[in-house]
Amino acid sequence: MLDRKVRPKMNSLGEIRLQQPISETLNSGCVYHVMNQEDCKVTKIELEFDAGTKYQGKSLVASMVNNILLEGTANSSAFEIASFFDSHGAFIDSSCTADKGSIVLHCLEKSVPELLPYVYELVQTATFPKEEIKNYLDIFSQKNTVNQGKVAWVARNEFTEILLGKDNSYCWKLTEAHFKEIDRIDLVEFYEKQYKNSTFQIYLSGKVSSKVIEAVKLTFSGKVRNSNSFETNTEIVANDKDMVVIEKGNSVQSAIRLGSTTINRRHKDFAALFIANTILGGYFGSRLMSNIREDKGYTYGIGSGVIHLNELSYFVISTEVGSDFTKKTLDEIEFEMNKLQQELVSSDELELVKNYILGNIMKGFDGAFSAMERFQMLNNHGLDYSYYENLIQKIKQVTPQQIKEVAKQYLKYNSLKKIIVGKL
Amino acid sequence: MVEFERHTLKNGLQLIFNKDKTTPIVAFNVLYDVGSKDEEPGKTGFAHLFEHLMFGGSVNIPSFDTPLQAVGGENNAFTSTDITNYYITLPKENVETAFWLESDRMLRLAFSDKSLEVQRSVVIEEFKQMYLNQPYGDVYLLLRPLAYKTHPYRWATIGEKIEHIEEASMEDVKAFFDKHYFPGNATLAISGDLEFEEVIRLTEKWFGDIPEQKKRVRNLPLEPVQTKERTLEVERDVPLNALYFAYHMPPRIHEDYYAVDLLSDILSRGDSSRFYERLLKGTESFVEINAYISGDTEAGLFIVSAKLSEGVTFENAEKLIEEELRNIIENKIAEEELQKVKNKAESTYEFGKTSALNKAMGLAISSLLKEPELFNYEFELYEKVTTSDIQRVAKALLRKENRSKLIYKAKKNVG
Repeated sequence: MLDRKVRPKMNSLGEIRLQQPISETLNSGCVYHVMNQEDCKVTKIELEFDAGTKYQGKSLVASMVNNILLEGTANSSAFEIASFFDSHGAFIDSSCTADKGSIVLHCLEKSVPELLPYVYELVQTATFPKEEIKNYLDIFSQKNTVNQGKVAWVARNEFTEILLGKDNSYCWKLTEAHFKEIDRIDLVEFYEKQYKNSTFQIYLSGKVSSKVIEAVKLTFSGKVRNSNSFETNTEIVANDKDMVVIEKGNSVQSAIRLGSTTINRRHKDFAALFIANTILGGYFGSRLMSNIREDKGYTYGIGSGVIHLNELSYFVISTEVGSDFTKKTLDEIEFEMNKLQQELVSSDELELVKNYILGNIMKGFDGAFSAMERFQMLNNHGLDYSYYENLIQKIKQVTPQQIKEVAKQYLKYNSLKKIIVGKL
Repeated sequence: MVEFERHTLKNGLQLIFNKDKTTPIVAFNVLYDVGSKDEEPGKTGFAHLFEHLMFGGSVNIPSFDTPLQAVGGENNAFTSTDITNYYITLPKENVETAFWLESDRMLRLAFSDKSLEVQRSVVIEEFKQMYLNQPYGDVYLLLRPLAYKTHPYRWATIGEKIEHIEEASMEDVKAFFDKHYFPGNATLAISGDLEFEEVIRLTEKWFGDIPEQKKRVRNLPLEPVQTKERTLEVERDVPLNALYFAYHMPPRIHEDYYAVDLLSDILSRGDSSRFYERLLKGTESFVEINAYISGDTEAGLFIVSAKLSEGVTFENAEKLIEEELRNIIENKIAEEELQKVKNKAESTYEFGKTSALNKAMGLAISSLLKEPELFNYEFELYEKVTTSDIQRVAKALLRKENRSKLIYKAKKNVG
């Protein structure tokens, strides 16, 4: 007779295979990395430039350059570019983070040789047509107005200024005024320095045949590039006030965002903090979720995380809660953070979180596309695979006492900067 | 080609298995043939509320998530008008834990009062966060009852109104479980590096003794053919005027479904699409403009949605959109333009096959729609569509009598 109350035997996970790329530097200074997966027909090619928002002198410049790159070159109009990629069933996208700007091509492997020269044209001969800039500003500023009506968006928008200060290169607060300050020349200057003349990383994943590699070599060799970038400022000048409240009286929910700057991935306490954060708010069964969603029902979701930018790291908690629950939610967050500092985590809970994290690392290496994302993270932070080896090792060894210690040091409610949008 | 094998249990549970040797992770997908279309008019939002309750403990297992996370697994679920789908990904070494958990909650839920009380409240917060406290969040709450008069698609999956969720009783919940959660109403699809014999053994072991129940015949009220344009005008505290058209379209397995899907791609997929190039960039009258299909199993909706630039009147916006629609009705599109959207459909399909979870989910959904093979040959149905088909379905669909129009006015622009 089947005893359903008894769980199946828990088997220890097999060794996590950390799939690593093959890399080669081209004479242009660009480096390509290959993560091959034979059994598929599609390829992802990402060109990653040092062109994140932290390098921009004015708000909007980095993301606008990243966007309008695809909107016209010396030889082609925006429509011609879009038609060309669309007609091959390919997806050409660009994306911009705080640290990096990327151009990403998703396509059938067989189309790569035909598409790459066009991608190169975007990198080398983007023209930033005036009407595309105007179009972008018109549409984006109207979208910005729509976003100002979303409490979570407003909280996110204000957060980095309160946490880091308005002069920090990682502060990305956007205001209506920024749309008026943009000049075409700002875009061209940024483009020439951070894209056109700069070295970049080329990440090839999915089916990467010798034909694909040949095409990459042919397209991106030759012209010698440099790696000069605009200066960044990472000095932290946090807001004097611990809490900023932006009233939106008629809102049925409040957005809450709390955070503090913290240690980076190289720090000796990194792994312990990683686990402590997971326990607190880093997964569906976390203490914040269990308490504030699953026990109290104040919210649809709440989470915490440690965000590692290339030059600084911060801890953050965020949620949207029923307006009547704002204060109660803050009290519960404080309660959970204090508890983590005062009480030892049970071995059951710690074991669960350790296995959860190991399972997640395993998923991170499931297939060439995800394995390449892991490598990109390492490469961007100047880390190698010993990072994962150490992390896996430390996850296996960390004790309840160590969790309590890192919570005391890095997860203190009173040192969090707090932003509330809605009703307190 | 995604290879698969099948097995049906005596109690009616369907098993579909795809062997994927390349991954250490198993995708475990349980699809129930129940969606918001199966709800009763006064008790909407139930299928989705129920999905939340499925995580509140089952008859022998107090917590669903905890033991799963303890073996390195993760899970989630979603509810639509047509289905409720639960999925787990976990390391293959511990795949039996997934069988244990999913079978126990198919057998019977714990039905705790606390869980019902909390999940009611969580779903109400979800309702507020996604539909009420979001600019334009209530569009589908308005558009559905305009387009449908009798068919249960007239309410959104989240529910017609918050009160229906507030009033959900334990009795309702139990009745819903009894009616919809049983082996014959479910499809289990698994993708991973396992042996089929072992998968069958585990399926029989854990799901085999769940009692059989007769699958009911679904008898949904038919939606009468729309004969006149319907219009609804609302005013909301949003920054921009918005305009929505919803046209009735054929069901998911109708042969014209694919032509209609491609028609929406021609109008608005990608930056070289007609709407993007001619309306968004060409006229500066729109901040956003899209055409898409709802993708429902029964006869669904073909939707055009637009946010208007400051100062553009509804009349002008409508005229511009109608010109584009008339153009595609009156003039056959070029072969290349059709080939372009087919090529996109092909690469989307190929990218979709690169993950075990996508495969498991795709096989399960195809199986419920018609047969699992559909997952492999569906792309050919897109390939078959001709330029005449596009013109024919455009002509059949994009008529005023077949249209529901939602005029969504920004308060500050009034007066």
